[in-house]
Amino acid sequence: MLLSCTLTPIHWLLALVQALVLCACAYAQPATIPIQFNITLQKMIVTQHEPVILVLEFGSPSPQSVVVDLGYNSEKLHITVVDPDGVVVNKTNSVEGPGATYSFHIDGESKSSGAVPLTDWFTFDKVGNYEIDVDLGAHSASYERFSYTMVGNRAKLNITVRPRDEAALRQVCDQLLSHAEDLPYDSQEKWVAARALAKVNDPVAVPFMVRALNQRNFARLMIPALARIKTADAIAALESATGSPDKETQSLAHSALASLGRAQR
Amino acid sequence: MIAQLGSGSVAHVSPRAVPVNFHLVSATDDDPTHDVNPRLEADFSWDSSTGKYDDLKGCYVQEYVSFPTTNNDSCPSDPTIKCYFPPSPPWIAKGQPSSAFANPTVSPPPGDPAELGANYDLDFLDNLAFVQPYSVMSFTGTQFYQYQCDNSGSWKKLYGPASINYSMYKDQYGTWSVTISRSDTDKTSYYVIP
Repeated sequence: MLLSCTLTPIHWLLALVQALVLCACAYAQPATIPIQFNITLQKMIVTQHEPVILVLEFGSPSPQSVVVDLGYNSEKLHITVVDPDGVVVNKTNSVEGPGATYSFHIDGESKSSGAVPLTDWFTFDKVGNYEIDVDLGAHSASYERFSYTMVGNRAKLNITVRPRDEAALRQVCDQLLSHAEDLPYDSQEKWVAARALAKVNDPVAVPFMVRALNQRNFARLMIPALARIKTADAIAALESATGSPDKETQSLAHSALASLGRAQR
Repeated sequence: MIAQLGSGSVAHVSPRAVPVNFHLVSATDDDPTHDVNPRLEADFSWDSSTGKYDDLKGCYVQEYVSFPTTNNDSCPSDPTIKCYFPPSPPWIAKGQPSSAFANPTVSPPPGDPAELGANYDLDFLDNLAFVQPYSVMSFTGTQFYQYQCDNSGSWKKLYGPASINYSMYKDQYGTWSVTISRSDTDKTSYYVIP
């Protein structure tokens, strides 16, 4: 039996509609962009009380730009740290409010990098070797504007914390302050440096924190840090900040002094 | 915007892009089995006034939530800031995780980069050590989203107020539950206290 292959106008019309629907669907589906990650530490040997900074390098073969957002409290970033005594500590959410937002813009067909201070969640106060397990997850989240998959999103890292070296720590604080002061307001590195400086739990950091207070934007980072260190110099800086022309700085300084039992008149 | 340059010449100056149309896209109960911990996720999105997200570089979006001004004390994790402590019982005993809410709760500086075009809020209770005797009780946080593009420290309203409500209640069978709800969505996350 011979089958007829003749296409009628209605067949052509149906085929055309089907093709149009397929094209529309293909256009509407956002392309999933593959991103190659490389996760390292800025330094593998630090001195005690020095911030530990994670470096994320990204590469995208796609011509399209993409933004990777680590999410609320950076919850896409799973980290486990094993300290020199074998104590295992997992990254947890900020206790009383949202943590810092870290997002990274990757231009099409290019590489870029960003940093995240691990001292947002962990302390590295013990001398010795730490193991750090990092997992960024493999996919973009539903709330993100971009759809991507990540390769190289896990890493096992090691860092050695050496006994406190005041000169080295002073140099680190100086570099962090320079970055925090000099980089433009919309530079993420500026804020990484400021956050890292604010987490240096050592009196050496006090003069650098005091200088950072000259920029109003850093008050919410530096004032709690000074209150935590609470040396005579730190308290004097807080007392001075109560006279700041910036209302938020004033208010934070008053609260910080009150928390130290040094209410200002 | 049109700027007069003198000598009769006029230049067109594009206004600075700002985030607009901030809106709730969806809300999700992240504890669908009601036995892990109450956690309500609210996904937000916004546009750029110029239509291009890249033009929003330099603008930041922050969350600002205020809680009642009663029962306020130093935050456990940072005594330099104030926290609201919901009454205990029935809420978590003061000093325990989830016993305190920074008041106000504000995104850490500089905020979320506005060019992201989207973010989300998580309202949750991680610690489930509710204190007996349980009672019908609720407290509310009032949430705004704000933006700034000029590093002036002056944040402009983008969204809100939205109420975030944390409630403890007893159903008709005598079972106690904790719910988290928002005024901008019907979605509720609830946790049944075993």
